[in-house]
Amino acid sequence: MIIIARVLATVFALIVLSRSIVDYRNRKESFQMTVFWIIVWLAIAIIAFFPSTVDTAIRLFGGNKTGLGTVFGMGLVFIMFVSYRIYVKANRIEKNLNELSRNFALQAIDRPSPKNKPSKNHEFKSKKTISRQK
Amino acid sequence: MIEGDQFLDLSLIKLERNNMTHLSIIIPVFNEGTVIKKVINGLPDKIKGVDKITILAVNDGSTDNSAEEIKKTSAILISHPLNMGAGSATVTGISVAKILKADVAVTVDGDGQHHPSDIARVIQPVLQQKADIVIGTRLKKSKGMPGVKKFGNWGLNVITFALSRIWTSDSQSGFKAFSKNAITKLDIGSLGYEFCSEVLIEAKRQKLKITEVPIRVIYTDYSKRKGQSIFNGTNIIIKLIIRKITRTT
Repeated sequence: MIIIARVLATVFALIVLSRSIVDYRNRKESFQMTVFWIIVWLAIAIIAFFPSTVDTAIRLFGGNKTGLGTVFGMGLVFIMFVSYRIYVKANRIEKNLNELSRNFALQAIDRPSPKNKPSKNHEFKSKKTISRQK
Repeated sequence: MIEGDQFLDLSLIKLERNNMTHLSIIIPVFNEGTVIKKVINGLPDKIKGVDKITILAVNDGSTDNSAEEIKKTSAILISHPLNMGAGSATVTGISVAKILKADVAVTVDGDGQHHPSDIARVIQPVLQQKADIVIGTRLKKSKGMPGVKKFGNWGLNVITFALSRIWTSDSQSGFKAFSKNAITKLDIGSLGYEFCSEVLIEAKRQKLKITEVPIRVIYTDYSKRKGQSIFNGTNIIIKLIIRKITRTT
């Protein structure tokens, strides 16, 4: 089981680190953010390969031996918090994008060409008559 | 004397205009270039009890020739610059119907699965002021509907009932009619197919009257291919629950 965890941690760490460095080089990610991800994923890889470092670190800060379970529990809470923040931000962006898209659509309504013979009851409105409600 | 008659005539015309019933047919369109022209041209130009019909085709960021095909028809083209989802396109159509002061709005799918002659039956309860929202239910005449879809629809009916306390036989139907009252009051935030369920949740919140009318469905290979997948059902449920939790007002 520990071997699977090590392989997974290595693969994910390599993916995230390479992605982060490429994004930094392409100026898509800030220096601070790149350093943050490097530290986080190096720490994850170190814990996967040397689980005892967690106890050493806890003892170093004056705590008692608690084990990996506590760290994973705390990690899970952190992930939930990050997921929530990402959801809120994505939702806000989606909402704004939708509003922008709708306003754009309402301002550029295309009335049918007079060449297209309308049916008797089909109502046409000119661009001027269909203006956005204030 | 002549002037008096003229005045009388004018006032009658005005009165007639005020009583005119205006119907907006809303069609959300996403990559329906092969069928959309036929769908629009197949819509009725006369309906009993309706004086004016406006066709509103909402092109939801299609990447094919849908917009060009719509321009060849008598429909008003409303174009989203990006693909925002069927729900968003429908709400944009409803917004335009509101601006046009439509008395009734009816939504029809752009893939041609709805029978144009059913529009008259679906809007009837609204015209008779018996309902604010009419759902054209496919499941009362469900012959031809794949079993997986029937099961999926039933599951979403249950979820919609749990969230809205309104039971309908086809909560996911895209064939709906809205009264002027509903057009004005509904405040829908959903962008995708979860729109259908949110309409019912909103209707309950706004105390709007809802009824169902059976409709026929034209199942072609094309319309079957364009329909929702079973995986989309899970997505709808998640989005509905999140929307229910995060709704602020």
